[in-house]
Amino acid sequence: MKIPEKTEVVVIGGGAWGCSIAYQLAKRGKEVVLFEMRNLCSGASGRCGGMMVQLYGGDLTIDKTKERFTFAKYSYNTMMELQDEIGEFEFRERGCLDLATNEEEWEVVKENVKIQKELGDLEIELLSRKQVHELMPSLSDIALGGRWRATDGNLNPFKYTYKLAEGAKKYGAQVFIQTKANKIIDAGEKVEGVVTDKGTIKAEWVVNAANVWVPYLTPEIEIAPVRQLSMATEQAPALKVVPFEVPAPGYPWGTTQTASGNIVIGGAGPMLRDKERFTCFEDHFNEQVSMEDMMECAGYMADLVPELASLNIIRCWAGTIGCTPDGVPNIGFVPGKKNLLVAASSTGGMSEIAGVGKVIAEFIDEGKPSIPMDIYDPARFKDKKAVWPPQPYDLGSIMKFLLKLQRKEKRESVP
Amino acid sequence: MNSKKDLIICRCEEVTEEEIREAIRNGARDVDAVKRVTRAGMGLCQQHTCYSLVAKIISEMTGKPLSEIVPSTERPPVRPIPAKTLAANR
Repeated sequence: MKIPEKTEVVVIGGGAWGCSIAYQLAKRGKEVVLFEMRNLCSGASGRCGGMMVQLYGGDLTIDKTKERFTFAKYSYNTMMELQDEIGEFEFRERGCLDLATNEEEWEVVKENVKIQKELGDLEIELLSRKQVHELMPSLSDIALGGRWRATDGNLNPFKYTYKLAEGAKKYGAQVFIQTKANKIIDAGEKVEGVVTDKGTIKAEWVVNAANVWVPYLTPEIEIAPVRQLSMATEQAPALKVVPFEVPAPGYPWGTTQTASGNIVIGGAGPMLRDKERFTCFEDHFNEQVSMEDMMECAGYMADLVPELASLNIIRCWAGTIGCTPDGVPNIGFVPGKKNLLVAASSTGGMSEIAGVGKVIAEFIDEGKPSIPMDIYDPARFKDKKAVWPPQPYDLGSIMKFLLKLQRKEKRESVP
Repeated sequence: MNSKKDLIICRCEEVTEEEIREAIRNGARDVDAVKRVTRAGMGLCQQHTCYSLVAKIISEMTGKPLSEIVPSTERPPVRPIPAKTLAANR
């Protein structure tokens, strides 16, 4: 297949977000060309655990949560429609348990639930220690309580992404894998097209959905790469409740069970427990796995759910996810550009995929999205630029920076 | 290789030859891409059995020599190992 000379929209990145955007645009009759430098779903989308967690994260404030809640629901409803449109992708509504392991976290969880309830989020429930153990008896005695949402769950990220890409192709989109976008042709207020390693294409619109690789093409957008480590066990019978998130020292770790029965354990970021042992500080793009990584991951599971410790580990992998200074993704126009959009740095797992596609399609087709997306605006950092550590990131600077990100704005605007 | 629709290529995940051919027809060009679509190689043996079979089918269908088909990513552990064994050595 040869790259066409021109098209209406170029989407860069064949992850779940890129494919969702391509699908929604193609469905609206736009001429879409998508470039993926490796294979579809081989970045963060394919290396995550596949959890569908709405309103994820500890850093919720009234201002932020309101828009995030609207978007989460918009995305959830779109996902439900998608199941009929593109076919099933193993979404299972099994709920998600967000645990608090110490007093400080417990206070945060309680506060978050209060804020969410005030905003009309009727699904979120606060569970006491006893209720957590009734829900998940196999959990070791680590939780003081937790947050539970019954409509969360998990899905198969590969199936989801491939079905979105297939759907896009059915509507006429062209998908080029193993084709790397090297440059977005800049012409002042507008961009004119994209230079790839297989030719140049002119485009009326460009959407950069390359996640952590976004800044290489669009330096205005800043995204911090964070290495994520995951591990899968052999297939086990379906457990009653598995998906849960536990903030391990410093970073959240999650566990989930796929539709096939494999239990997937994983987490992002440097492990603060024993920083000497982990190589992941040095290179957040490192996709290799060390023996120490595996032991840490297995130990995490053995500590949390001792019953699962007899399961065989069959695979351990690593990948890179993107983080922003406030933990909210960048979705919208690149500052100063009229036809260049960015959609990157999802930290909400699989929950935002469906919504992102629709929102970007609305940006392009209608000029603005149908729901408020101001807190996702990439221009929000224009006046208060985060001071990022110089690249290449070294051990000390990235750790300090990431810690700062976590503490930033914590509970500031809670009344 | 004569196509038999129900021939199981990946024993662990019970993926048939036809499913693999379908994935290649839909654009998968290496063993990893086939794995992501069909689950062939995601099971207990981690592609130890089906890797070469999948590579051969890709080679046959795309006309690429076997040597040019990108190998799939090998990940630890090489053999399944209980989580508690790993955890005990932390």
